[in-house]
Amino acid sequence: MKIFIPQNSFSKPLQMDLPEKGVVGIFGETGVGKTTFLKFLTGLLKMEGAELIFQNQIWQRKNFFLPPWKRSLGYVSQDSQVFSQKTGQENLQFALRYRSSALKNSSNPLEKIVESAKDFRLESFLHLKPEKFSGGQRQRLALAQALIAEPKLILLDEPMSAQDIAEKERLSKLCKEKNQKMQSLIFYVTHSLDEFLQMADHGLWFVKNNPIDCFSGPLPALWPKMAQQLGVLAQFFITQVQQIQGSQAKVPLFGDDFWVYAPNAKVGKEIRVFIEAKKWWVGEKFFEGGSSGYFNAVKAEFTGWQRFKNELFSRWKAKENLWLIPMLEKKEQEKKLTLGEGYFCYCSKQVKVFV
Amino acid sequence: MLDVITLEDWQALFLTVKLAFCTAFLLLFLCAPLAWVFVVKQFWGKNLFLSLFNLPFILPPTVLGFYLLIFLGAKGWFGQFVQLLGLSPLPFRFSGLLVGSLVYSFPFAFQPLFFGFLATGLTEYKRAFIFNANPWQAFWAVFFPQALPAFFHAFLFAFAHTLGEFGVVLMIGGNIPGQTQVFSTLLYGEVESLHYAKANLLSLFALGTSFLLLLSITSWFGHFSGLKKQQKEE
Repeated sequence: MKIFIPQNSFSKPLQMDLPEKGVVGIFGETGVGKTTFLKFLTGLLKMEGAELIFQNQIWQRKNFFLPPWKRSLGYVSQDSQVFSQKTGQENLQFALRYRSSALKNSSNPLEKIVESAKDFRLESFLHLKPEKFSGGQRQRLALAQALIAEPKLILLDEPMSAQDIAEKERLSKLCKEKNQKMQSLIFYVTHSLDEFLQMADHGLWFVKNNPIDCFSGPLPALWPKMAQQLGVLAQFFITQVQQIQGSQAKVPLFGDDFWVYAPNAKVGKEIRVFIEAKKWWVGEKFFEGGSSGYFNAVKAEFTGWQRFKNELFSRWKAKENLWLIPMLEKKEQEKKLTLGEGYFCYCSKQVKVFV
Repeated sequence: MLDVITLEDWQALFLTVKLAFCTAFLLLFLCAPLAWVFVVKQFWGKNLFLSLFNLPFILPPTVLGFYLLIFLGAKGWFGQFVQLLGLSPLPFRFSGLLVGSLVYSFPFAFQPLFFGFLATGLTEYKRAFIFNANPWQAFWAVFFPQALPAFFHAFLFAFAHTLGEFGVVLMIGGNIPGQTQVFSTLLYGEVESLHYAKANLLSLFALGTSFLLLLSITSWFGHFSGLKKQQKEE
């Protein structure tokens, strides 16, 4: 997907070259224009002079503008809107009604509705109007509606914010599976770094630099830049499971074997590992929090703190992974880190695994 | 007591209802597309038109009737045009009454539709685009069911308001029994002729039916707008 957005009062000119399928995660603080960007993709919001080419089809360019009803779209808005006057079933029917391509692929639209209702756990209230739904149920209906007609571009604006953790896990897997089957492209907006790292193959990161800036790239390549700017002392990897032993999975990291707790992992499947510094000790003093803990530790430091900081931070900036690699190689929960002559710092790590 | 009611009176009553119904019905078709355009499109002079539409709200009906009479009459601009087509001018006929009522009751149909459409909003209508419904399909499948109460509202208000019309009817229709005499002008005639008993009977009847009409509108709309449900929840 090729996108060009000309310079405007909010942002510099933005040029993006994004994949045609998979999941593009959109991350950024509130007010950077994530939702506006999605609306631009739908065509509901027209940006003069912008360009949009998706799967070799021109959606917008110079004087040409493909209206939203001629695009192949699915959209879950932030407040998970559905049609208020229609029942759950009618909402799903409506998504299939005007979309010829979806009907061609499936012989029976009713079958599709039944299947979708089952996937999104909507069976027992399909006959009700959305006003009777809970927030989470309405969100699942909106999600089902967005996916049922197999659109080529699916825009999800915090689509799981009202789900509990287990349901979030199940739904994100379901969305990824369906997306792979449909060969479509998902844009997934979120505030949660965890969700972003779990869902996205490709990252789109909006930064409120005034004007707004945008960084884009495959997630592992984008992450170091993000970590640095967000001030998170953390590492992120996408790799493959080599071996399973109980609920532990073996993945190759840092040129070595690395065992992580991943009860749902399968051999050969992709696994995402997020390792974040959590607690710091300087001498007898204890500090909590990833990078803030680190900086507090440094600030509270003794006479040679500048040297301590320079040493650690410059190496980390140079992506030498100084502060993590020695720990991980020894596979210890806590590890003494030597910093120059006679200064010691301890760090504990937290490992999150997304399967 | 009822024997004072003559055939002419029944004719006037029938004519009133016929006029109100035709006016409300036609206004719906006239005002709905107009209200839609005013909600959806942005254009220069929008407020100018909105003010113009609302003029019948505050203008004395006789003023309106007077200008319509001049405009539609045999020597009027429109009257001459009609005559050119080989037709007779509109005043003092039912069609004249109808045209007058359409102008007079216009804001009573336009306002409920306009504000009803505004309150409904275009969010769901535009959402239908995402599912490949074009604007026409989106209007009928999504917006229309949502805005249905506004249509009823407009119809009933225009209907009820036309029932009580007097100044315009008198000016443009005269008071010809069986042709342009409606309930209000009939009553006026009875009072002028000092038939107070009959005037009283007619007035009581009008009062009763008007109240019943309003009562049904109110309770019906209470149901429609979810007012009852809201009160229950509170």
